[in-house]
Amino acid sequence: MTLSDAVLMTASVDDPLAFGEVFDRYVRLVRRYAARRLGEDRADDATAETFRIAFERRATFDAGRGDVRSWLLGIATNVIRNYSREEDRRMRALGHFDVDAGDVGVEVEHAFFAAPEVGAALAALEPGDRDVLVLVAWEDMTYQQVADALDIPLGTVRSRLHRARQLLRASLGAHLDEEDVHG
Amino acid sequence: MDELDLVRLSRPSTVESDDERIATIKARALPAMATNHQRVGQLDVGVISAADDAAVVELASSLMPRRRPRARVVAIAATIVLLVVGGVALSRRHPSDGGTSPINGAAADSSPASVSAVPTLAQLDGETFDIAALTVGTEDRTLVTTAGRPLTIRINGSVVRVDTGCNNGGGDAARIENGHLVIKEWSTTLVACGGALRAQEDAMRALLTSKPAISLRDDELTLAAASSTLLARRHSPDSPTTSLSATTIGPVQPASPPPPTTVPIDPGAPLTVPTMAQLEGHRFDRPSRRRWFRSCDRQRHHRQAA
Repeated sequence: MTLSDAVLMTASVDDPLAFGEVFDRYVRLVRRYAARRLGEDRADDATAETFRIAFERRATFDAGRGDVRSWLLGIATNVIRNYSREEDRRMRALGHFDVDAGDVGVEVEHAFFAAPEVGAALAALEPGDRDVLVLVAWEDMTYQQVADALDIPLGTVRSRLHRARQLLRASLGAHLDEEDVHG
Repeated sequence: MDELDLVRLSRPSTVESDDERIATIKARALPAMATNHQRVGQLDVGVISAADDAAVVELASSLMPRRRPRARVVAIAATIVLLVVGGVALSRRHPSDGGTSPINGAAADSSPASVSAVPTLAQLDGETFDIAALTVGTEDRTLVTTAGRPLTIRINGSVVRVDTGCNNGGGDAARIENGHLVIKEWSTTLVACGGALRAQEDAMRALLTSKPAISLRDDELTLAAASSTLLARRHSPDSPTTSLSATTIGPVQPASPPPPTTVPIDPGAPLTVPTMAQLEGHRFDRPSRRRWFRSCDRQRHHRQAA
């Protein structure tokens, strides 16, 4: 029987070694998230920092306020804030990297060509708005999970996302119009 | 496709982390868990060294105040009660503490009144302990010292210095691990000494460099290795070191010399070169470096003024 994340977190308070299992379950996910936002060079640093903080604060984890994944990505988001300069650079250089999409076809090709503009638009967002947008769009988190991760009210998640989308629409208008041509 | 879809599709690709990279991250984030992991049941239980174990325990204990299960609270309460009871019993049992046969007494004393605890280096910081007894094997060694020079263990931060009666030895990176005093890179002065002094120094060095178990009971510090034990008492200015010699110093100890007389420096006195005859029979104590420089400055100043 595999122990649930919540059980492991609870056990890790008295038995720190139990946290090793939590690490093994989520390290790749956290690192992927960090790499998307900061690039490969800084991803390891941010991931190690995230788990160091998580280990220190494991006693404060409350299963009633979200799952372990959200909790870890919330910590990672705060850690990534410390690398804001690196993230801005990474976002602006987005066009130089391959985009990672589940589907193939016209949309992916379109996204590939739109990536530099998307990156520049993401870099121009307020950090809080960008956190919400990225967690929803890249990490496929629900609004509630984002609220849990960032420890903000659900309404704040909605308003930040709305604001981010408005700004993106203004920046990417041409590409969105182009979609109509493709569509 | 709206702007959110475009962002979603523009998600940057990442390199999948291999095991080596993950292990590196783990070593940095959770150093205490990053060695020799084995799967035991569903938990990731590391085969960890004593040092790692200590680090894990330290990390765990640092989190104790945040959440205390009932069993832990009960254990803490029981420990407090034991300490209080032990402390009361000790205070009744050791009104004056004559200091005879201290090591064997301590070793044989297994009554609940004996409350020894492993101290931290921080607790011992700035302390000086007078070495009171040394046992090698089953033999209580008679402590040997040179004139007026106490055998001491001094602790300043992570620096442990031991005056063995012949040389000053110690280490600069000492730590206490799992109840053992670990002194790294033992260094010592190199005064030649022989006979009993040499044997005493060898025994002390062997003990101190073998990661002895360390415990503190009241003012008594005990260091115990596999075949030797050293007991030292907290040095207090009120208790002269000569009380130590009354029970432990052997026949080789010479009589105590008269206390040195301090002659104030007269800055106005002319400087002359003494003859050997003038110096014969006098004893000169080396002033501290600061005092020496200050007196030099003062003399230079007076010479220039003159």
